[in-house]
Amino acid sequence: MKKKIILFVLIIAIAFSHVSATMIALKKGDIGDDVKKVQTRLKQWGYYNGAVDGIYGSSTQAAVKLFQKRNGLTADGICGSKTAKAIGITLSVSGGGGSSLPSSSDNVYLLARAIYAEARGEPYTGQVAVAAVILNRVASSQFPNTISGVIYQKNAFSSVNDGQINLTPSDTAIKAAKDALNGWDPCNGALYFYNPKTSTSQWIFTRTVIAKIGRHNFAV
Amino acid sequence: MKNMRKSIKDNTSTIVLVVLLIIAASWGGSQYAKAMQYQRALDNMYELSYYELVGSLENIDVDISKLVVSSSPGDSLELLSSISRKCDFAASSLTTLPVSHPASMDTMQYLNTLGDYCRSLVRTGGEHIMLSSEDYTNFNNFRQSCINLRSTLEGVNYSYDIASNNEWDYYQLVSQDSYDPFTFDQNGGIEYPSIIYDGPFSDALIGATAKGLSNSTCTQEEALQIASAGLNTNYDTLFVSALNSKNIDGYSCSNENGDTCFVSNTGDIIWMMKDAQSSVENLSYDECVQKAQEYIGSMGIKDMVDTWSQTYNGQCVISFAYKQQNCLVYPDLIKVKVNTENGDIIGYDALGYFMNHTTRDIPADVLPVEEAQNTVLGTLDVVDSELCYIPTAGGGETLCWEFECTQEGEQFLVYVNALNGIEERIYKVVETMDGELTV
Repeated sequence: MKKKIILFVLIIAIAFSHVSATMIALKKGDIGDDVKKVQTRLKQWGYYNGAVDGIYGSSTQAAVKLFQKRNGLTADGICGSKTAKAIGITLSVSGGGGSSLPSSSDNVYLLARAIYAEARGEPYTGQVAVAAVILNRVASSQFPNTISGVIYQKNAFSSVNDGQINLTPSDTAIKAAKDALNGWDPCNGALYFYNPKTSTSQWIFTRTVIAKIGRHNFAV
Repeated sequence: MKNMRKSIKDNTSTIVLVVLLIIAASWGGSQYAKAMQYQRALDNMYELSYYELVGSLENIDVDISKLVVSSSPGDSLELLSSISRKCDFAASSLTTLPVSHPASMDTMQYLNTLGDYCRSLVRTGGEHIMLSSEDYTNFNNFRQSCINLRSTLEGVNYSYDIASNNEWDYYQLVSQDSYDPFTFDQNGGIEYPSIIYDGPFSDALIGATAKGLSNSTCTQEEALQIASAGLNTNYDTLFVSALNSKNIDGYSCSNENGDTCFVSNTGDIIWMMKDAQSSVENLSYDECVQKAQEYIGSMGIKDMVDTWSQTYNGQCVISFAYKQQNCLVYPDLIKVKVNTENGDIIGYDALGYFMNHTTRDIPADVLPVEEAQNTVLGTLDVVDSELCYIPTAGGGETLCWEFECTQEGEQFLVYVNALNGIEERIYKVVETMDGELTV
């Protein structure tokens, strides 16, 4: 009996323990708080004279290279564990390995999350169109004036109600978000989209449909 | 002995059951208390937003009533700024209330339009602001709507007084689309006028017509041919549907992958978009520009120069602006997306160009660049300058001198009106991982 309890406790403990994560290296194209830490230190020591903006661009890369050269490290411009140690910072751990996602508070990222949650099975144009609807709403006087205001408006998106909005977006969704922010609007100014087969709102069917992409109708 | 064992066993299981019951009950109790705590926190946030909205409307009402009797430009300016600020605040309070779009759209439009209208009057009038008789009529109408809105909203408050009602009623009340405390009574005659001014929510933008379309007409069959050339795909794979968009009518042609090309009734490609996977950057920026220029040329469009670009996910997005003589026309905008792996054109957007393009009548009495530069703050280092048209918020355009400036490592674009020397706009250039952006 005792053994069983111990085993049970062990299973619980394992189930709840965090999966061990690996240290990541910062490289060109990365963004985030860790990059800011690197920039801050390198700026204090005079290696870097750009803005502390959390973007690992060419100037940050050059500063890291210079630092590595002067401190006897391999001058590859990548801030791995050795370089980070020499700079005197600890990099955050991440289970996903190195990535160049937009920072999680970024509008691009929020838009990408909405695309992924609402239209991940749709053709690419359909994904851009969903983002365009959100941006058309931001530009419309009848809706809130920010991307977050539009996305989190009450009952605006079912994926916000059921929590799918919090899924990690795919690269395609991020690309679609950037294309929409760059002005592409495959739905030609639509303010609403819905799946006619699954939609339960009576009100939405009263709007004029101006485009159909994949499974979605786009309406004004 | 056997019986004793049995009774101990029975007792033990009873005790275990009781203990489990107590644990379950106390767990349930604490969960309930927690849920109530969350509920209250949420209710309090809604209450806060609600009172802020009603308070802002009260202030807007007072400010408008003062504005229509004010005779001093200084006072008017202050009141207009105050109204626009309060409209923004009220709109953001409304956004945080649990009211869905169909119920809130009219109020949202009211607040956004009024705020935007005031801002445009401040911008165009400056310190010498003079309201026209039309403005007075508009403001009187706006005020009437405000009064009506307030009285309906105050009625809502009375009916969902949290102290006397339970929370459930409250949620039911605000979650029903049919219950519209924020909707103007369509039959009750509360209509504010369609107003035209220089701002993003002006009614002038809704009725805008495309200026740059060609004069020809195009059948559905021809549209398919144009689209198949534009998408560089087989004609047979495309299906077409007529599409009446906001400003331009035409044909939407797409294939199974969702690659789509929108061709206007006049046979112009308004936009095109293709899905393409690429992550390699084989082409340099100059090579991408050349590919994009060839594509624009094949549309029969000339004199476009590249201005801004962004590179992400194996694609290079280049913005082109029309150049007339030595003047850059930013509203006539075309964006082209080039696959950096093989140089394919995977996106094209000429809506800006077709909406705005005409041959401009550039005035002869433009301020000399040296004189316009006097407006630019002395601490900025001017690197470059160029004559250009920039779009205004209300769909118009202004002729400006563009000054590319730097200050302590930061880069700015300053636009000075080329006719009166007033600074029109400032953009800050920010370096992102994808390229340079203006904000």
